[in-house]
Amino acid sequence: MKNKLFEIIYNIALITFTVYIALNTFVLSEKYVVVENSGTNNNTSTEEKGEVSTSDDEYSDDNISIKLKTYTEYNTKIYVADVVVKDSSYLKTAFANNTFGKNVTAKTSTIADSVGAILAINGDYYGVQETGYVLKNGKIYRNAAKSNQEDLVIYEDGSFEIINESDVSLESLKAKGAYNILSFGPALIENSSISVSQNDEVAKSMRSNPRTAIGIIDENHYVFVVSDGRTSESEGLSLYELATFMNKLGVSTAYNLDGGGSSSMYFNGKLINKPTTNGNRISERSVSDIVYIGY
Amino acid sequence: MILSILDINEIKKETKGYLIFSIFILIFGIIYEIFSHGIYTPYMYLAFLIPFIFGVIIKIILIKVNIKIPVISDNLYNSFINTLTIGLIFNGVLIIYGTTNKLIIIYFVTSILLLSLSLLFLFTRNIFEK
Repeated sequence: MKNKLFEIIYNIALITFTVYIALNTFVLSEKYVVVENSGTNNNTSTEEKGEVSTSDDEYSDDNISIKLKTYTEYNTKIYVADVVVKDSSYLKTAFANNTFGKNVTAKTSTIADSVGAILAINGDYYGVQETGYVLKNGKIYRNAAKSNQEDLVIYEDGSFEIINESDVSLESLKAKGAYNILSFGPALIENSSISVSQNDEVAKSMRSNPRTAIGIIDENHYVFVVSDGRTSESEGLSLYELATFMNKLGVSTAYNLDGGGSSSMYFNGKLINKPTTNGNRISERSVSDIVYIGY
Repeated sequence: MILSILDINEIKKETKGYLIFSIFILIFGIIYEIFSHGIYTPYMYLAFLIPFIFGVIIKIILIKVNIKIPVISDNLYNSFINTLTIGLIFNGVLIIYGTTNKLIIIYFVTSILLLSLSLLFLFTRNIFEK
């Protein structure tokens, strides 16, 4: 026993450290920046919106038109929101609890409600990463580049570009007019061509899973795509299947966002899809950010 | 005192213990990967090799060649095995979850330190005893 005393004490310290690092990674939240003027704009005048028409699968006013359609392909339910806006300023992002931080999360529907979103999908879950560009609605929150990270840049004029964080600084992107950056990936379609392969063994998995993606068809014309998965009713998509599907929609640039249990679409005050983490229970996961259409 | 020699029966017990630990880590890694939704990492499914190689194979060799191992050297060596194994498993958990944590480096730096100290005590014990 005396011989083992050092080991016993050391192992207790090892377990304690492991518990701490687990809490630090997954549980303990740290708030870095609280966003002022979060974009909540419930006071948007009726004049600005004009005549508003809504139904279960459509929304339109003078500036925004959204049509929701459900497809079944690859034994998977896929929800596509076809968005046309008068101005790209209606395409925005938002943080959970209006706070940039670590382990600061909320459900997509909760975040969407808080900012008055008409349509929302989960974002890039920046909160689980220690590096990777974070640029939201024109403001830089994190400029630490992640090696070989493929990002989607959304410029002020609403155009999309796929960049690699190893090749370009966040400051130079901002100087070029970058307004939002999503840092998850990979890029699915570039210049109207599929850019993932069936054998793509990226860490994001080529297996069938719930997916979230965003794409641009042409100027101010976007698609938000969410697929269910991990259930008998809806198998899920591989990255290649997702890219193939979006290619058929006529998307010129498409980008994969956080999937799995995070995949969620909110429209006209309701959760549209059936999010699940393990396929046993339908339940919305809390995420760190969303992409949305709203005022 | 610090360099008192470990009894060979103690080493045999440790070897059996690490065999069980290796099997546990192997099963844990397999089960974790089954539920990983298609994300596979060698940090998870090969982690069992650390206790198996360093805790079983090498200890069997040490028993066969009848090397005199100071207790402190053995303590440090076992701590190295445990630290490296836990570090690899936890890194696998992070990769499968899709996240990172800077603090993970502490496992690997500590492992190297523990192994170095273990070897230092093993090879210099004769000098201290003189």
